[in-house]
Amino acid sequence: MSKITKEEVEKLANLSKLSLTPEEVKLYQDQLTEILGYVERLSKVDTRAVEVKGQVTGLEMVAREDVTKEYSCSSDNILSSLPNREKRYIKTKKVL
Amino acid sequence: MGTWENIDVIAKKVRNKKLSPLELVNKAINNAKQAKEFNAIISLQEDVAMQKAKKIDEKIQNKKDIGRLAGVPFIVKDNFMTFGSETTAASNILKGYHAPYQSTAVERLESEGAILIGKANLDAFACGSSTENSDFGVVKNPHNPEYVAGGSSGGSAAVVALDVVPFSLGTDTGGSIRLPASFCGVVGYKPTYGLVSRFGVIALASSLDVVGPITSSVEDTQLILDVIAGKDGKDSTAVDREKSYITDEESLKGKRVGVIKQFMEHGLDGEVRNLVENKINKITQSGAVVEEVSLPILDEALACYYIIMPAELSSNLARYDGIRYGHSSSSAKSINETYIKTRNEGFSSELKRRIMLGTFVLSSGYYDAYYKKAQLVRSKLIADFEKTLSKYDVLIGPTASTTAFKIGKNINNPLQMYLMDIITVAANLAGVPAISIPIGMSVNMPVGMQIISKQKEDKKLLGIAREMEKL
Repeated sequence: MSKITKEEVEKLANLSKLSLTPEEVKLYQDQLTEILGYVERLSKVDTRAVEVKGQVTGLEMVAREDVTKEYSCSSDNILSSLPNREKRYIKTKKVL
Repeated sequence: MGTWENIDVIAKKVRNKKLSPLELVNKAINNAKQAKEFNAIISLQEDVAMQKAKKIDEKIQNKKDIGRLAGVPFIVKDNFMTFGSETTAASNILKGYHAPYQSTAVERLESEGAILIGKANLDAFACGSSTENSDFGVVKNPHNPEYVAGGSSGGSAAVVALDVVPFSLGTDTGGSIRLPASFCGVVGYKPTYGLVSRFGVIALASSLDVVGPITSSVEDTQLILDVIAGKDGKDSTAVDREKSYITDEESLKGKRVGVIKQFMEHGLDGEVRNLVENKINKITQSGAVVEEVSLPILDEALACYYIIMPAELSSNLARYDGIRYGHSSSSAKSINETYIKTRNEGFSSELKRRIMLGTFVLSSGYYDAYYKKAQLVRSKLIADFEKTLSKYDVLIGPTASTTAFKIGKNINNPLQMYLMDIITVAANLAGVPAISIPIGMSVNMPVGMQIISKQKEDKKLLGIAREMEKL
């Protein structure tokens, strides 16, 4: 494949919620091009007769009974991991 | 630094009051402190471990049931959620995070009386082959501190090689248990996909991740697997376990052993080749029928892996947004800035590289050519592996093409670093069990051999590995 463009790297960073310095853009441009150049070898593998395996050990439709269970982890425990909170609410910057 | 006896011997001595849990925890903590220069441990939980040891001691005095691993100290990779300490995944984005629940594997070990004394260093989010990508500093190889310990479970392998504890847990997505085990000269085991619950383990690539033990002997691995294997109702990919994984050595007489041709290529180091061939000769002398077997699809395994793994990683790491846990940027002025600044400050360059790679292969326009194609190649690999394994009891080859490399050697060349996984990734893509056992030293650095079997034949694989380990 041809070299990944600077604009493509910036778009990927944006989609991934990352921001890059101009030096990083250049670095990732080279590195991603090299890695994608390597993985492109798969295009030469003949997979016409291959049946797609959805799950590696062949499991299908794993489900459990729709019942509630007691759980040892309290909501206070979960709330205590929040970086920003007010009482029992998650606090964020303005969304809209 | 003292060495450890077999795990079942230690546990027996605790039951017979010949060893006390406090003594064992003390010994492990002291060992950990002495091994500090290797940077294998992120956090020690001295006080919590001592309290647990005291509780087991009381149970012994009161003649209560204390479990099969009573008093045995252990360490887990810091991507297992545990009570009593931070869980960081060796990433700045989770610094300070205290998990609200515990991983099933740790829970099961503790319910048999084993005592967690600390958390091992790793490549952040298990992304790496050398533990140089840790935000807590690089792990040094126990045999030579100028060399890497391998990754991503580098800390877990090093603590066993350094005799800090008798065993540890790691995770293996593309070789992350077997590669460091090979580089550090210990036994590293990747079970069949789904045999051990991943509940409470921080996800890298969910279709590949497995939990497994690192020990000094295959016998110890059997015991730990026996404790941690099996469904818990909290991991929907779980498969049924066998009643027991404890077996004696399985005779090699008449066993069909395939030496994987492709594993003996890939720039295999001459001395590594000699040691593997030496072992193969001994296996032949023990009465096994040994043949070379070619699996051409293996040449595509690494490329396939480096599409599927980043695709799943980029999805799994989307949850680190600075809102619900871990680091949150203090300088953000809007919600979008919270996401971007938090992730920028928290993720190292390797994670950013993999996240963007994953985002690329999943993006419209490229999805079919990369991700879908990789799924097709993976399906072919699974089928070819199954077909080949139906003709053999086990397949063997080296675990890595070289011994441990010098710290810093590959750090600026991601593709070169990714190539370290070329021999190990296939077992993850195929979901089959694979073990790395030490087979000798090359220029004072350990070499490992990999043994692979069919899915769900973990018990047989471990029996054969025990016999091969003795040769």
